[in-house]
Amino acid sequence: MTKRVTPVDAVYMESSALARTSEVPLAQVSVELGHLYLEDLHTVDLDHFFARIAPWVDEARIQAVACLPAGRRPRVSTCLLLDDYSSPTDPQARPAPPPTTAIPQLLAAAERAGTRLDYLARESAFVQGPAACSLAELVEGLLVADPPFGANGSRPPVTQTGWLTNGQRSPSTEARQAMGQRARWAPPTENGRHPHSIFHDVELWSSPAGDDTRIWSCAYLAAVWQLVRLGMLRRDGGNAVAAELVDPAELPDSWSALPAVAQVTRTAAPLCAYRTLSVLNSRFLPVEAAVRTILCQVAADPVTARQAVRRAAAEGIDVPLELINRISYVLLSP
Amino acid sequence: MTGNSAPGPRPTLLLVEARTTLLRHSHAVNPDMAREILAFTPAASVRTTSRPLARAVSPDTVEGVYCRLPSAAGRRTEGIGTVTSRGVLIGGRIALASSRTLIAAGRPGIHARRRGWFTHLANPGILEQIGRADDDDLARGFTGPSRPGVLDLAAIASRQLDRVQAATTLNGTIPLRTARTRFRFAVHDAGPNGPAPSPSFTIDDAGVRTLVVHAALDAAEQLATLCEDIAAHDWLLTIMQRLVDGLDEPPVRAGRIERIAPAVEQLLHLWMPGAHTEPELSWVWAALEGRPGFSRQWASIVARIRNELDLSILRALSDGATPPPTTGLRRGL
Repeated sequence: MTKRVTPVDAVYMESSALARTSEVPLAQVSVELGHLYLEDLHTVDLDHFFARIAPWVDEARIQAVACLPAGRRPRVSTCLLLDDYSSPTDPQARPAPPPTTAIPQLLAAAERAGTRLDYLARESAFVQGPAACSLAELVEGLLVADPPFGANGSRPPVTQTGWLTNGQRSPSTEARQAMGQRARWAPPTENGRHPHSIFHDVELWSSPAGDDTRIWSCAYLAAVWQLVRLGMLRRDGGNAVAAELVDPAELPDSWSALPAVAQVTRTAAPLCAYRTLSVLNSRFLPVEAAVRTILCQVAADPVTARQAVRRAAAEGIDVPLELINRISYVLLSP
Repeated sequence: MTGNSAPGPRPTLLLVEARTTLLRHSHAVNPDMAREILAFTPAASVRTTSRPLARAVSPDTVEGVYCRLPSAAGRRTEGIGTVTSRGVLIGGRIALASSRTLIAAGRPGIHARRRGWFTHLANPGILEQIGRADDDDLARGFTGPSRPGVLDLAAIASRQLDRVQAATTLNGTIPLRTARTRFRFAVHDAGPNGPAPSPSFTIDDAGVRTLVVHAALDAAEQLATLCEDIAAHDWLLTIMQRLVDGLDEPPVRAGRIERIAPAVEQLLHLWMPGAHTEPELSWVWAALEGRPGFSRQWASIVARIRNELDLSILRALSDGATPPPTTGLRRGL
């Protein structure tokens, strides 16, 4: 009788061989209590500002946004984006108040309105970053433009540098005129229109100096901010942006000395969340429409996108895989 | 609780195109340099393995496509979605790029185009089919002659390989002349059970290799690795076979050894079929070893090289010279 030998495969693994995608702490909803320019801090009545917003972010409404079963308290964090980047540069304008006075005023006004401010983000921090890779550039690497019919891979995707559309632009009339033909205008078309188009062409950045220096658009940075709040950004597989706790008693004198995202409430729920809700002045409607055009063309890391779906499911909450469907808005008249 | 997220499409066919060549560098690159070359995106890191053979894999890059799918029967069928590509370095020496996409039948309800591009980006690496064509027809179309306007994985893989070769850290000095090889894989979903047909391997007139396999598609990434592993070994065979075939051309014997030497030093040790293939897929390698017999062909090439080196050493000794530098090369064979 021959002895049967069962081959045994040794298990061999190298940690560097595994794709590493770290998980980030997640709240159920990230609520954005508006969007302010630094200059607004002089002119805006902060009590009025938060009093308009607060009723829209009460527990019942957040519960509905979070898709929580009735009776469960939502785990929610609040934030505010301060635009210290695309602010109008008026030499006559008064300089923005320093964080030492502005932040305590913001926190107090939010509290008087019956809400609370957990995180403050600075827009200019999204364009600065380690080793020539800011959050803005990180997100640029995730853009996969909606292809027109005929995009079969034989040529690199056609992109109008610095712009992103939700469809096909009008054919250029100048080229045909130059060739001596009668130029006839043809409309731009929205991809997947039914049956009429609403065509958006979004400027992501401009380069007014004509060199490599980019001025990123407000809409683009607002899209970056949504991705930050959804916990979707990774650098080398690790979390790309973490909020830093800042003691309101020890604030720096200059805005640039603040971290990209400052945690200003010690006991806040995590910055990132399964879903986001932004309560904004309706003048931001075009900006947010542009944000959605951009986010519809972001190829987020599927592992990261599924982390939120899986963790929410473990809590009995339904979260869609598609990022754009995790975003809610309340738009208020001025 | 009801799911408000559309269920993902279920793929039934995986198409992979691999392009392989010699890295544009004078010698094998170390893992640190391999990581630098393949760092295509700051978001994710390059994965590396050191055993049994160094292998570095770039993060996936995603490209959107919306075009006709390759139907051998000429049926009008379109696909919308994305192709994922990556660059791979094997042994710090072989540069390879692969582009892959899973074909899934269109989801019922709203037309794939109208559902919004974001639904396609939520499941990267999948092409959703619009119109009818069965998987056999598509696989035959893909592995057959290419047609204009149809999904062109070859071009995408080729650009990805260009990107690897364009890394500024490479010195551009290549120790031996090689060529790019093209390998196409079509993997049919074998389903959970039932006997799968044997793999079929062909080389067409244009030198394109094709392999059609039936396997479970739930581990598409492992299948891509298998395809890359096979493509890299096919490239090694191709390059070495061309080299030994060229030995019968008339130049003097010393020239012959000089032509062999770089290949012996740089490539021979890279032969390791199945080194990075998951055990569940090793049967594909086993089938290829049966027919066409990859390792038999390799053994015959190595024997031929060994004989050449032996002869050159003997000839040098009988001429009364000191043993030629090829003695060291021979020791490794």
